[in-house]
Amino acid sequence: MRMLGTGVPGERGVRRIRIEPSGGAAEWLELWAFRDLFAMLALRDIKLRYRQTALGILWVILQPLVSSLIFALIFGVLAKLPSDGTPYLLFVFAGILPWNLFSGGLQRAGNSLIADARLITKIYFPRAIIPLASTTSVLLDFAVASVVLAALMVFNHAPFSWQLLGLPVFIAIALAVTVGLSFFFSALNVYYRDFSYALPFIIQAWMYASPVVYSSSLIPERWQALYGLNPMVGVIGGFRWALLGGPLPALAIVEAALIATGMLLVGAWVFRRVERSFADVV
Amino acid sequence: MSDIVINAESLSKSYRISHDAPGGYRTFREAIVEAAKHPFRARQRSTSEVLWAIHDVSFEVRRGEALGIIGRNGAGKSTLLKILSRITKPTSGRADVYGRLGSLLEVGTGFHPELTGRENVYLNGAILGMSRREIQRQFDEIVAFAETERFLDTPVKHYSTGMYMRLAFAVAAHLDTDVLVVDEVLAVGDAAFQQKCLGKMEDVAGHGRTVLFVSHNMAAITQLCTNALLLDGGRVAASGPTDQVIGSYMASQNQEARVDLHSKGVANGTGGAVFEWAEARNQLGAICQDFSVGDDIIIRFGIRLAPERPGTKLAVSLRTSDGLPIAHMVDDDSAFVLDRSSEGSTVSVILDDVRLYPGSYAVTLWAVNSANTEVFDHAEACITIRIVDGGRLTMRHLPRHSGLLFLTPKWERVADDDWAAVGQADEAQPPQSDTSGVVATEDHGNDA
Repeated sequence: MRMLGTGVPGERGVRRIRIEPSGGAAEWLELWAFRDLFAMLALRDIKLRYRQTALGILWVILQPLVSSLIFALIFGVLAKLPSDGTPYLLFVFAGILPWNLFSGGLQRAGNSLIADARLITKIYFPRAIIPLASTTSVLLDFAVASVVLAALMVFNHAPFSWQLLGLPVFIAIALAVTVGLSFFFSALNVYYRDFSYALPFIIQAWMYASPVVYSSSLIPERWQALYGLNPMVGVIGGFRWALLGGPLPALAIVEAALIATGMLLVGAWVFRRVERSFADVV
Repeated sequence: MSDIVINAESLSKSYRISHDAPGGYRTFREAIVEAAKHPFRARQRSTSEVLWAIHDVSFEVRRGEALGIIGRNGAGKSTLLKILSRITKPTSGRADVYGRLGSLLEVGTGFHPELTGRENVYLNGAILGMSRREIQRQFDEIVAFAETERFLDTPVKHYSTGMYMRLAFAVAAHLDTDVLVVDEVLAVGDAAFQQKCLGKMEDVAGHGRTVLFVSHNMAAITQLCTNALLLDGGRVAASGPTDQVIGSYMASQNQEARVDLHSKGVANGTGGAVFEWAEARNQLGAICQDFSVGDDIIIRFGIRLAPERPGTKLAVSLRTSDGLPIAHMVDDDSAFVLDRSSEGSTVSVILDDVRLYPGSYAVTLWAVNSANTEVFDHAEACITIRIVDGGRLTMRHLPRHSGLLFLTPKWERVADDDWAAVGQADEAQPPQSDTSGVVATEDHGNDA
């Protein structure tokens, strides 16, 4: 058997790490050095989720489909809300797709630091990896749901237009909002444990403040700019435009892009300020 | 200067212990309520106090050095390791670490019971800071070291504790960094496993890599480390060659034959029972510290039960001055049950005919709950017993390096036909009777 310690000290070129009370928080560049850990943690989250549920991947298909059906029944059939000319089920599903990316990512990342408290107190790595990996694991759900949506579109003879090319932009905005808020909420959860009770409520309220189950055309014209301050308005509007056509909600999308960038920067800044104290508190 | 791998300059770390938030963290609700009441006032810090986990700790570690860090519980050893591992930040001071530092504060950090052995090796390796390629390259060795090839694709929740620990340590043992920081990982597993771990650690140290090693096991520290650092109350109490530092550590442990444990402060546990004092007496009933081989030793202590008077199990353990455990004596084994009818009790533990070699032995007292799940109190090395040469059994000098137990077994000469056969090879008849030969019975009396 090979002995330990084949690495000759200094072989790699000596790197100095300075340990100080202030500053010196994880360099964002260091995230790259820990990319393997990031991948392993995201992979772990995915494996655990699919292994521990009896329905497995079926669950990821059923959840958005069934809730879309329910919403379509209540808001489309019973309340007869407008859906900009597309079948209500398809209309709702196109909204639920980005919404689940956002809410799922936020929910999973919100509790991620607490769930991995043992890691935080026993080993060093840039803490941002934990909420980032949790958010990333939600992308698989998103991919599966996208396939379901494509099937729904084919079934409803909805055309696939060039506007689909806009989707990556809206996905990027949705991810920026999710990651920015995940940084903020996951850190808050470390310091205030009862925040985890508030999070589902915040997400639920947010859903009704976003055009997930209804059309944003229900909001009066003069309130549209204010309404668009909710970045999910732009994201969902963008998704519907790319998938189902209709007018491009340009103002809401610009607002969403700006706010998402702000949230990402502020979230990252806050996280960086507090991350080195996590091990003392968690 | 390139020879220095770690340079710590007056590292300090303080914690603020808040008395009104026993859980350590506040609730969001409280914070909101407080902010609503006093919107412009900073957070109140009325009843909190500052606790220095380590204070003004400076030291240097050279390349290839194995540094042992010793001290009592709460002396700041783990905090120091956590600062050097960048898990937590210092309150003041600074440290420079040259090269890649790997820390091993726990075996199997991040192991998930639902994942298979293979998946956990990759996950745990990544957590320890190994790249995917590094793990891939060493995967077969890791698995061979852990001896778990057959169960690689079984979730580790089905593993026995031994298998689990072996796999976890195997990953850690293949961590290949310039500096390795290790905290008491040898305290887990059975003796064979501990020896295996210690062997691996020696390999690491022997290959010119720098190791920082925290342990309560002085024998392990002596075996591994060239130099040691003694922490006491968060400060450096001694540093230098290992035997000198261990010597001053043992000297700092209470050397008296009778000690007042109550004045030392609170219980070293959950406080369901508290040791008040402890002493050693000889067979004449006098408090004393020096004994001869074969003497009776009476360890006597006072214990006070908490008002609810929980069921309490007691144990006394003995260690050599270099930390080798010798005995762990549990009251159950002697069918003793602590009387719960009164709050306080004086208990005598009578060891008759103690056959230990001359040297110093530390006595530790333990009080645990009946289920043995909770430590009420423990008095670490509270009294020291010295065994000296001479006494009723032998006047011979007994050097400690030749043994630990003074045994006087029964010696006898056994009748052996082969010897007879050699002597009378030509005789036709082998002896038929079963008469035994000479039996040397030198009864030394007590063989208990």
